[in-house]
Amino acid sequence: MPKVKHTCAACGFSGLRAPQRSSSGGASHEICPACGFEPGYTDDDQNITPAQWKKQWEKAGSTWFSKGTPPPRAWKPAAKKTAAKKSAAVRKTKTATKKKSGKKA
Amino acid sequence: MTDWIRLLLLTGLIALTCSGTSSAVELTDAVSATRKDGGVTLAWKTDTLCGTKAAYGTHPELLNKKADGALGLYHEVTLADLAQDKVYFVRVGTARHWLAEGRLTISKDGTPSWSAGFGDTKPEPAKAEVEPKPTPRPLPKIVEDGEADTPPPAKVKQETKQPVQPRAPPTQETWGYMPSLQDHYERHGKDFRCTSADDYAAKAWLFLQYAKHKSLPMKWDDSDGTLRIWEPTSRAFAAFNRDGTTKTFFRPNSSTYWSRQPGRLIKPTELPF
Repeated sequence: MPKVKHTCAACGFSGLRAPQRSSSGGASHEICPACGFEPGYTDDDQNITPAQWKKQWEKAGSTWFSKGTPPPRAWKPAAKKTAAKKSAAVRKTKTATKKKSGKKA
Repeated sequence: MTDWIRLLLLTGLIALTCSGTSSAVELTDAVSATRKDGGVTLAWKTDTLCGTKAAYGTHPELLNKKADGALGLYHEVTLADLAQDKVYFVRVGTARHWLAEGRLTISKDGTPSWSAGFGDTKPEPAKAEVEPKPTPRPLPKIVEDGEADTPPPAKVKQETKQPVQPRAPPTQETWGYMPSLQDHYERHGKDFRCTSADDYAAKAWLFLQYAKHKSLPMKWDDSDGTLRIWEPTSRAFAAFNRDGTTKTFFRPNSSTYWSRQPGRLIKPTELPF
């Protein structure tokens, strides 16, 4: 039976072992191996919201956080994914513009 | 019979394996003595979180008075009933073992002064109106050559026996999810001056034992079987899984951290582990 994985409220990494909050509101204290967000510490003690943490993490380059857990093979941080999508979109636009200008000529 | 031998060998093997996991506590600052509230307060610092204990008396082999304090890095104990113009022999340390010993001299005006080591262990010459002088008792010979001298009274025998420091089991047995240990250690290890991930895990386990022993505030979260423990003096917090393995161990900054933790208060005797 495959184990249910849970998602990080900060970076969206979907390989967590437990939900970050139980039904009582208690924190799991599971440090997200991708971004390092630790429910119960980062938010409850350091007063950093998941959104703020994500922003900081992305600003710092969205590098894999954990030293003990290796990243999954296909893992790419959300920021890199967005950047890749953006550059692909830019490339498409450029090609389309070139084609259009070529046709006009 | 062979089962017994196997069991003995196994126990020995476990003891050997465990011996490497916990590190020794060391003093980071010399012991100081100050006069406070009719007594003398001894203070010292340790490199790791541990208990506070002192034993003292008028003879190095008769440290029959005890004082203890809170768990922490900064330790303080107040010694009461000290007579003026007298020398006391004092040992200070953790709840488990002694870290330092010294002579505490109380001057005629009650000013204390501390000198490390027992030095010349001869007791002070008797004063005019001193309390009944304790008879210096040599350590029972049974310790040295296996042949009992005159059997010492039970009380003295107890005091000469050094308490044993509990050793944490191997990290794999105490930490909940091993791949997360390094991350927790790097983030929170400095809170307890841990020197390695194993040291951090061992301290978390020792904290649980201490909490059980001292009945520290504990909350049990029925929703996921998490046990949360708080030590108000040193402000240490730890969370454990339902099987007693550690989730995390750190010192929160927030003053309301503990009061915001969910769960019902639980006594150590009610714990499933």
